[in-house]
Amino acid sequence: MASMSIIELNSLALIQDFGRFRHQHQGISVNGAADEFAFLKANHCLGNHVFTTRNDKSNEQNASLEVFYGQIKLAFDDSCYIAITGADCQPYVTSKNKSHSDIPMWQPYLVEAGDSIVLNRPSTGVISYVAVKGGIRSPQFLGSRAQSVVANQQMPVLSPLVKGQELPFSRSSDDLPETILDLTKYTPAGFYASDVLYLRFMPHQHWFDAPNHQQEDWLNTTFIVDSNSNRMAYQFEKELTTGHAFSKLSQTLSSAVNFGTIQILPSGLPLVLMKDRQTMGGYPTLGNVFQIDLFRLAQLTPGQKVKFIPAEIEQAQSQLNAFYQRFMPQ
Amino acid sequence: MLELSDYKVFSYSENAILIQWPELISAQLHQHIISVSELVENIQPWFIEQVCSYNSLLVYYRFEAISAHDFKAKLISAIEQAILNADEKPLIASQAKQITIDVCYDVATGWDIETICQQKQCTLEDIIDWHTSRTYRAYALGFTPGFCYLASLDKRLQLPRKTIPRKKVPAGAVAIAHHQTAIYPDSSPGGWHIIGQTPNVMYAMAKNQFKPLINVGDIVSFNPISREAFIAQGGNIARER
Repeated sequence: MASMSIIELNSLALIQDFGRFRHQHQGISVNGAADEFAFLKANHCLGNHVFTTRNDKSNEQNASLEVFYGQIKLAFDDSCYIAITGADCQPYVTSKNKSHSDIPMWQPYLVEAGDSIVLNRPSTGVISYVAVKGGIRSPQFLGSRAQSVVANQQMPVLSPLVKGQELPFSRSSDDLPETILDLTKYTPAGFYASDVLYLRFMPHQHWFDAPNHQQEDWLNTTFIVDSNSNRMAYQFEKELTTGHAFSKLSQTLSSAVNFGTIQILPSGLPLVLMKDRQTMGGYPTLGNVFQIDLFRLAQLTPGQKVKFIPAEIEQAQSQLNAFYQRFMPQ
Repeated sequence: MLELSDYKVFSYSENAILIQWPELISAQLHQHIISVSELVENIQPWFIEQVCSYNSLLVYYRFEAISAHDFKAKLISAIEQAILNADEKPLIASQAKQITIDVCYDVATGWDIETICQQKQCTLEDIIDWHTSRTYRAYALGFTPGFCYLASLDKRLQLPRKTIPRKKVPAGAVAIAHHQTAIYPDSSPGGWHIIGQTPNVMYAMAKNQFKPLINVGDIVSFNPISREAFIAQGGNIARER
């Protein structure tokens, strides 16, 4: 099997697909690509199947490299089509004859045997994806190749990648499909937020129970992404020290939590759960952020601004449906 | 008398609906939740997975194939069916296992034993007695793979979580917090008080299989063992650094 080797790594890199489903009742986190927009764009332009014919999510061909803040060098021992998407990491390729050339992002690119590619530290955004035609073929665990920032000694395959590792991919004689769906209307510029990111959320009971003035206060508050944010959770501070944090909510019995659940910490500040979240949580919850907005949130660096805004479940569902449909076989 | 019809069903996120019962720890309520979950599993082809806890059940479904409104209606009829069946169901499910966990309780394995003895004005023997003289029900599984929330702890042993969690609790640590006790299957950060360590392995892994020792609804008891027995069973005493 062909492979790409990690020659240099000064950042965090993991293999991701859609994640591990149907094992949350055993305490197994879902994991999976943090920014599904960039992840799906990369796989889609290579013609990798990311959905089954029944439109279910499929992890067969989509395992990709998820790189935080660039700074990785990969060497290829065989030719293949790749696609690099997400945070603008100004990737370039060095070929056997030492010539350098830039790799255009968000489109297929043919890498030759002996080439190595470099992702630089992006000036904006966090995560870049490197997808390969046919997907990375690392060992699966419980139906997924996804890795996690939460270390577990008994499950080494789930640990983040290290320098020297070789990631297998199948040597594919297939050419790229001739007609890749026209997605020009769905551009990165159109998807990501420019200034303040509005996190739309489906409210939970604690929100409805809160007095009006507290709801208003909350909606008027601008929050700043905290430097402790990672694949487990995004944490926030208030932009201004004035205004109230959410008042003390009653401590609840531990209960299942989901991707995007807004927990209110004892400090009154929010925490938004991401893909490497634990399956169970004890903090009171205010609502659940739209998944589409979580893909955007995953690209925010510490210091960037968000605001919360309540919205309807029907809107959340129809938008997420429309989002996935763009990547389904027509 | 527990009122099983006191429940709420609401959309939690795009792909999940939460069923919530009153905030209480009750074997009867929990057994009812398990009965509900057995019926919910059959809501096909829309059901995906579910996570059960003390007083809630989070159900993931194929929202692209059914509206939240219609799926809620199916959940409610499952809950109502479970209420009708409730009279015939025993408090402990027939498939529930009885599991005994061997624990070495002493000041070396129980990193917080000395502090607890001071706080509670009790002895190590009291702690062992209070912890081992009852059985516990597995109410929820989560936090880390195979981590089971067991309740309820003897009131004399209850104390809040540590204000500053430890960065590393060793695998096999037997710990307590509030009304709960648990075994840490792997080393992880944790804010519970450690009273001992077990040599027992909390889950088995094979290719594409994960089997936790304790499952939700199981009944767990703790058996005190000597340090020699702990070591003989393959235990390695993890000491606080």
